[in-house]
Amino acid sequence: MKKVISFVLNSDPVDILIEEHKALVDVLRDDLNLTGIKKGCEAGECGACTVILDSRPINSCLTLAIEVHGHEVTTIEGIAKNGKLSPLQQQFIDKWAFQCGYCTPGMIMSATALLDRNPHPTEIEIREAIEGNLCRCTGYQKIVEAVMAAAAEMDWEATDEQK
Amino acid sequence: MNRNDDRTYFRKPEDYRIVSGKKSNYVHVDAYEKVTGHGKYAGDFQEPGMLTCKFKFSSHPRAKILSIDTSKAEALPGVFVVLTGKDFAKGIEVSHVGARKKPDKEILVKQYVRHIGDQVCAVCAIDEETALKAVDLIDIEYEVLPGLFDAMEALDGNSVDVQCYGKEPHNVGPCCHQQGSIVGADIDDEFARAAYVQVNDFTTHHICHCPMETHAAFVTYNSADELWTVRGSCTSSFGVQNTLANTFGKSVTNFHVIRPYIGGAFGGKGGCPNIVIIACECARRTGRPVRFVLTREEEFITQQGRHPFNIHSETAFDSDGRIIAKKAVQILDGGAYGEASVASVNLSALWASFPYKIDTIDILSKRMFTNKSYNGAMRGFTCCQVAFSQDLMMEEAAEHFNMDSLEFRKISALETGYKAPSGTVITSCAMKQTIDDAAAYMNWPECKKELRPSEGIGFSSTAFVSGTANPLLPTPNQCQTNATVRVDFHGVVSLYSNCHDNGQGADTVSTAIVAEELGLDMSDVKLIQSSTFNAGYDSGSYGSRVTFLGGNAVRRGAVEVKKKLLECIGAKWGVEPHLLELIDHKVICRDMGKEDLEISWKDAVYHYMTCHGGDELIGVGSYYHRTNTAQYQGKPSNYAPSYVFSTSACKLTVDEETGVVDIHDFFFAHDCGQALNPRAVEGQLEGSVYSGIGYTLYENLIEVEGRQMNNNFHDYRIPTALDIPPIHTKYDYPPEPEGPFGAKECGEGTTAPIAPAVANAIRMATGIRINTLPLDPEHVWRMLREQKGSKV
Amino acid sequence: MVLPRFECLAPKTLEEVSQLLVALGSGAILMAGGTDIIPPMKDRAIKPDYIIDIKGIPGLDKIEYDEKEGLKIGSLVKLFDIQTSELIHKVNPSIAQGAKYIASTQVRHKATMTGNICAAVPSCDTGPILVAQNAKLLIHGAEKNRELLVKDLFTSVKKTCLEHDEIVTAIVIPPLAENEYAATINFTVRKAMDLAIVGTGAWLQMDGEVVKDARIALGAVAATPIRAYSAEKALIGRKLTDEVLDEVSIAAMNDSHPISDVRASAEYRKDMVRVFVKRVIKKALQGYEGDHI
Repeated sequence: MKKVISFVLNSDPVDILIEEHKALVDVLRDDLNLTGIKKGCEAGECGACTVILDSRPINSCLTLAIEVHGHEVTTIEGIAKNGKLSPLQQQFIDKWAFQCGYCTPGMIMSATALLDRNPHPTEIEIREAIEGNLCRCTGYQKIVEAVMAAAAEMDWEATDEQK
Repeated sequence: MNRNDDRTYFRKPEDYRIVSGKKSNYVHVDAYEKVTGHGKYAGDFQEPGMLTCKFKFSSHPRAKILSIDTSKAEALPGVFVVLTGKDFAKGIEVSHVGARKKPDKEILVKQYVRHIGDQVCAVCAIDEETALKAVDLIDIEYEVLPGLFDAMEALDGNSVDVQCYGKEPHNVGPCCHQQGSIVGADIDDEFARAAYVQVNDFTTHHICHCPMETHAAFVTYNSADELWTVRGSCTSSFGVQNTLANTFGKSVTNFHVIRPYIGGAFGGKGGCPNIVIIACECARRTGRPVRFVLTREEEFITQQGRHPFNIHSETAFDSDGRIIAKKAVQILDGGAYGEASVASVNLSALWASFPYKIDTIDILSKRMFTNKSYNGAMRGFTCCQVAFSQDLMMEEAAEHFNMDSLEFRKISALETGYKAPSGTVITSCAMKQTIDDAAAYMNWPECKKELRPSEGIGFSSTAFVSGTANPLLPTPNQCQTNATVRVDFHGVVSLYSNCHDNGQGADTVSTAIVAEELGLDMSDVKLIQSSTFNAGYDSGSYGSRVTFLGGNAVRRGAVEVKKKLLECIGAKWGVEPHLLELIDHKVICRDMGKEDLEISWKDAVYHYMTCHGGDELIGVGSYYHRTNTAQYQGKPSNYAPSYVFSTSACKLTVDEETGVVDIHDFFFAHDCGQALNPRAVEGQLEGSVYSGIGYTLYENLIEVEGRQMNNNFHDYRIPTALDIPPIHTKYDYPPEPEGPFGAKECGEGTTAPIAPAVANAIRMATGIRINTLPLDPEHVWRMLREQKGSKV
Repeated sequence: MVLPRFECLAPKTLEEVSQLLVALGSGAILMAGGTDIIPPMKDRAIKPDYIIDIKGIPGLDKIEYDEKEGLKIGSLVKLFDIQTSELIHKVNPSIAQGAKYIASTQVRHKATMTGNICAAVPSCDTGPILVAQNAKLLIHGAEKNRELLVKDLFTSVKKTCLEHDEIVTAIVIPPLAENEYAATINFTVRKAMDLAIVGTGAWLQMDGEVVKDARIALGAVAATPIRAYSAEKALIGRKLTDEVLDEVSIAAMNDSHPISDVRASAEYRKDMVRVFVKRVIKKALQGYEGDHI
């Protein structure tokens, strides 16, 4: 059956007709053309499809599209504001924290959610935040360095819910 | 400008601005696209009317197809095409100069399925749901036949037929027998006079590449021009183009192959997978865009993995501990099909001597066929397996000689100038320095005194090729790579180079090389690539060749531009052109008394074009590594233009109750000549250590009677960010004269030393002798129980 | 990815949920986080006609503590919130550790502890610690409500004794007295996203150096999470010496009936029961003070 869902997507309100049995990852990628979100396993085991749902990082392949009705979704496409890369995205570039780039959107989403909640994470907290994001290229070291550098550089304001 | 042309205009090291090796001024060329998600990979493309494809797989490891009924599938609304083997006359050609002329893998199986997951039919439908429904409606009748699952069982020639290559015994694929002596010795005599012979048997296990992006293809077809536009997750665009032209009986001009971003390959995306061919056929039949993406589970069962090995080695030493001869028989489990199998046996025979001077050898590598998913090139391409056997053998031999294992390795270590019986010619070689650096990092041997119970330190040394001679397709002068550098009247530089970037940074390095030679910033150089029609030939990402060969071609294209420009300006000033140079966006003069002369880059280019009637300033570059095809016949030839050397060191603790190995620290020293882009080199080394740790401690593809039991990320353990230790790297070694700005490969051979370093450390920590992989907890636990007795 | 075609319903009260479950019969399943139902739907192992999304029901998302009743975790509380709850770290940190073992950060931001145990896989990560602490479930049914010990929930692989009209509303874990200790260790190969090869939970009540009472629970070594009764018997009334621990751990080993599968062999699992029962008992007494959970 088809239903209309309304939600906020990357700060913009969206109304879209979906089929109830569709996964969020497919609606975002195929119907809303947000192909920055990647598919690596379609089973919640790799994190390539990570998006932020109301401040929480989740696997969009383990989410039905209908579940986001009335909620707020942020994807990799919504991280840069007015064309300006976030400090974390810039650190990914400066620290050479990606190679093939396929896991990168998911990594940035998990790390962004972490920094929003915990502006000064330790290394172990960073690794735990990205434990669900598999990377086959980098060995994770420069990704961790990029997140630490972004945390050190910016005065992140933790949102009230996480305080 | 080709390999043999004059190098007068090559930039001198004292003028380096970008490739300094100390400070990295590199700009990551595709950074914005990757951190914003805007970069498109093959599976990201979609257009209105797009159709989706799905396979029907064989559920038997070996069977004869008696009948296929696709009628119900074809009748399902939303289904556009159903294909079977009879829709394709030919098999999949492997674009490889040394490969078999007759392909052994069909696009879709006509008669005999050879592994579970062999592709029998393909459905093209309006969406994935419909395609899956249609697949379920296809009825296939099989005569199930007994299968062969053990490569060693296949050796006696009496097992069932998986593949038969005609003359050889059944199930034996390509072999490589490297024999010979550079001291004119007979190998049996050498063994007879040896002071000590070390005999070992090793086995290694089955793993998969698991790139985060599965294989994918997006194809559109223009019927007016009979032109296919193909975007595939493939690392050899021209190889794909060639295969498609042959498959469809057309010319290469009918196939515009464009390389999108590629989400990791590690050697597994070098061919033309049948999803590309099928998408092309469906696009042709329907006139609609077609996308074919494999699921993760399908990726495991259909795509190649890393060869499991059985190795028997006998190594002869003289009384000083120097290796004098080696014999080995290496059996590769190739699975059901060929795929780059010539290289697998040739390279594994080569590695059997690396990284040592072994004057007399008898090395036989044999690749067997079994009814399992097939194996091919995977990062390190058989070096991980052979180095495991070589290095553990050396560690054991050192113990016999009661020598420090690092000093022992140095006795026989390869050196500059060595010409091996295999034909290898070693140019730059810092192997001993890498050993010393690893020892220094670990504070060896003093650190042995500070080891706690069940703690150990292990080292290993390996070597690898930097580039190959194989141009993949038959090209003029065996040339593998062509680059063009074009400068317009604004002074904007366009670099046309199809060097494939899988994430290893080829795009960035190419841009940097041109910017360096022309005295510009990287942002002044625009890279145009990734299409078989817009830039010249490059054979693809394999054989660790991109930086060395691709980079050398790109450099020569830039140098030809420089030469032409400096000759023109030199004429204008009355100065010898070789006394001019391009520095900081200017032409400067080094002629005594005329140092004031200078002209901006833009003005110089403008002047050049004026002098040439308006023609643009263009430079063409190419590079090759010549051997004859002897290397594919196991005869001596110098496989690569240069070689790289690595030593790794690892410190770990073994929980002897559980078998869990906890690595505290990992050090990696890699001689890649001059590191062009330090951060990228570090990234490659860290990634290689990661890859080696996965191979050694976590990953294991389990097959029972040909059925993969863990073809998913749930049960196939890929290391997470919490599973990798801190990694320290060193890569500052003397430049390789032939490499672009002194560089050699970095990132493939570097996967090889991890497993042996870990195994050697486990041995020190627990005393157990290891001769098999993997070393996940249960396997280590078993070895501890067998060798040290049960704790209960 | 292709999922079966189902209809999604979003009731607003518990009564509605029970009514729907009764009316729609076996073709209807409940969904909270959904992380344990979407993969089997994709693999075509389950094909529901209706999914009843309970996330809109108020009052089920609280973590509460009462010194008499103990810790009450509502069914909609996400595992990540359990893992990071300051309250839980203070009153019963082993519960937070148990939650942390599950899958990945992303999954824990969506999945629930109730969902984890109601999925009833043999290796369910929170099973051992909840069974060891005699946690109980508060269950709402169409006709009546009831309470059930977690240990009595599991009947077989992926099967519980919940009636079709029932929905779990909360998990209640009794408070730990001054002389009571609890810990959980799940042995995995990877440090994240890995199912336990062996799961353990221990609860001890001490009288000085003597174990006055004990419960030891095991996961991944039988069709359901189980209590290791002979191990408990070997432990109760004794002092915790190395010899006693060895005896207890061997008894626990004999209480377990693991199978060999793609993740581990039965033989290895049995020996790991022996190893980790010792370790989890020691951990219970050591506590979680200063640990990073």
